[in-house]
Amino acid sequence: MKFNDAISGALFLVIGIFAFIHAGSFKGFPGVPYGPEVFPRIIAAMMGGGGLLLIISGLRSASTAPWLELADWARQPRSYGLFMAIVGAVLIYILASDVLGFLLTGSLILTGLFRITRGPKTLVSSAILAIGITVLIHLLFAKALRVPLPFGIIEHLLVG
Amino acid sequence: MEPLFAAFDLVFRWEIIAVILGSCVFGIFAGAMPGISATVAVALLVPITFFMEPVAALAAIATAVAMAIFAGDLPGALLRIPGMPASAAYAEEAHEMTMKGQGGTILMVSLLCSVLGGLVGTLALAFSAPLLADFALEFQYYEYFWLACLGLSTAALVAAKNPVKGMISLSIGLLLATVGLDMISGQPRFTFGTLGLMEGIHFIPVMIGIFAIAEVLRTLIHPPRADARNARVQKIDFREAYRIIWRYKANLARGSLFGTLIGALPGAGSDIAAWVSYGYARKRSKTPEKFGTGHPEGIVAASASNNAATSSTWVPSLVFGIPGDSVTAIVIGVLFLKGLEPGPNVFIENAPLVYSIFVSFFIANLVLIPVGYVAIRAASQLLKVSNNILMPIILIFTLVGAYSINNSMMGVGVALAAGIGSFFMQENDFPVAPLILGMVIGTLLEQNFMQAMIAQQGDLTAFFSRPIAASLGVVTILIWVTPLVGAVRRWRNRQRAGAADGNQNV
Repeated sequence: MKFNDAISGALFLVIGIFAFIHAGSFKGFPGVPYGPEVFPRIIAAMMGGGGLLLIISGLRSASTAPWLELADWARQPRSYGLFMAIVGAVLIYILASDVLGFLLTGSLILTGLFRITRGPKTLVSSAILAIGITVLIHLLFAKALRVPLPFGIIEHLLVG
Repeated sequence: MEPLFAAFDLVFRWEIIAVILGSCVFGIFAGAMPGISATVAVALLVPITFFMEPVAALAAIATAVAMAIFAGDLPGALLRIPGMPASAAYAEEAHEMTMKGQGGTILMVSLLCSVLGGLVGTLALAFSAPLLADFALEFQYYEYFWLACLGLSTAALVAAKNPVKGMISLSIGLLLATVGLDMISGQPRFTFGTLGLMEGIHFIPVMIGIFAIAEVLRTLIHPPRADARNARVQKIDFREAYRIIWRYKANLARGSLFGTLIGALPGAGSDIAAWVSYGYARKRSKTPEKFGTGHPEGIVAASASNNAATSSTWVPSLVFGIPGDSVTAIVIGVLFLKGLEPGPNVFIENAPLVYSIFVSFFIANLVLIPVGYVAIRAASQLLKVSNNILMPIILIFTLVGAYSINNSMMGVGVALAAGIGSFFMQENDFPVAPLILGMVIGTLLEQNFMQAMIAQQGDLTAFFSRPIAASLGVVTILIWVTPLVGAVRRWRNRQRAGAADGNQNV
């Protein structure tokens, strides 16, 4: 999914301008020759300048390069489904794992993803695989590395 | 010598050896998978190394990278799909050899050359780094400021295909580094009133997102075009392998040397080393016409070169704290988290730790021989692991990793945003390495600048008042100016061509 450089250039020009203006609100510290706004402003100018250059080169090639070039994958509806599934999986993890705990959320997400990547006929094997992997990751992080993973229903049952 | 012996004591403990062996297996596996580059492998390792002691963490990363760079040759030779960018230079050549039935032999050649190149790079690292560090003790803010500028500029302007896109990518990283409380004035910057952003954006979730989550998206959405069923076990002819290496020993030496030198440059890494060595081998060859038809000469040079660069790229990182590529940028980030500030002082205060990195590299390169041999034998099985199973597992792993750094869901959110951003950046040919370098070095760059200016009461000429600083400054400014001069020249040529066209029309 390749946008014409003028589009991405415009995006960075806008971010650059916004950052440049916003940096003006950072207050300096007496006795320091350059305030906290100097660096962000140089960086913002760099980004905005780069954006401007991209706009110029993008407009110049606009006759040959389309505004949006769809690569092979971007013509297939399945690609968008996969993209949304991955993003959705992460969002579900963020929202649900504090309530359901890592073991349950992880197994459910993995089962769902396997079902999508491997096809609908593999639900049982996907679920078994998902549970096994989740338990392994749980053992690695929670037991071996002592990371307090989100605690939920299953963990309460296990600990009692 | 004393620190070296201390380093042996540090490394030769069963838990460190176990970590090294584990990273070996992981590195070979990751390198062989076309979706996982050495950088992604390190990104996946970091959340685990985060909870280890520094020696184990560094040994794990060093080993995994050395393994992965070799293992990238496996799918390159067998499926014509380089497992990582560093193998891309000679994947086609190696595949041609496979078509002739010499796949096993050429992989064995590649393995032995990788080991030898890696050892040369390690020796260069072990000998040059302490000497350079001694020299760098004299450095002050000014030199560090320019070194940081130099490293960032080469990454953004020289190593990137499109310098403008490299520069924008770098500015994103630098801007992310400024988020949070300013160290000097105590002012919150770009926090927009949110408490969570006061501490700044943590670099590990960003890195996990940029490399791992983006790679999951890329690999699942447009899978590498490989048919693993085509990978057949190939016979290894040891005698022929030795004969090839002996015949092209000059290429082996040149490749190792080039790799070591290129790797030591800030901003350049093993993939550039492999391309340069392959190109030079062809130029110096007596039979350049054979290149591309399954000729081992370039493979010898390039596979030694990329492994040599893997070790020597740690030189600028350890000595100056200026990483040469994304892998060492991650290493620098990890060192900071461990409370170790890379730079010449590490060589004095923590010499055994630094030497333990050299020792780990040495062990890793030796262990590569048996592990690599097994990997070649098992390659056709290894390559059958399906991305449809692997990628969801990597995704869930990255979520836990991003969460575990601060035990907060914010890390997961940051990783997701970085992953989506990185995916679209790469779709539009923006390089992501400058971003991660900018994010790691940004704070250092600003602090050196600010502290120098406080000391000099805002006198900018101070940056050119010391000889080394001045020369570094001139080189950096040349790097900035060169693309501009090129652009102006192209513009004038076009104008002239346009004028000529106009005259003809009249």
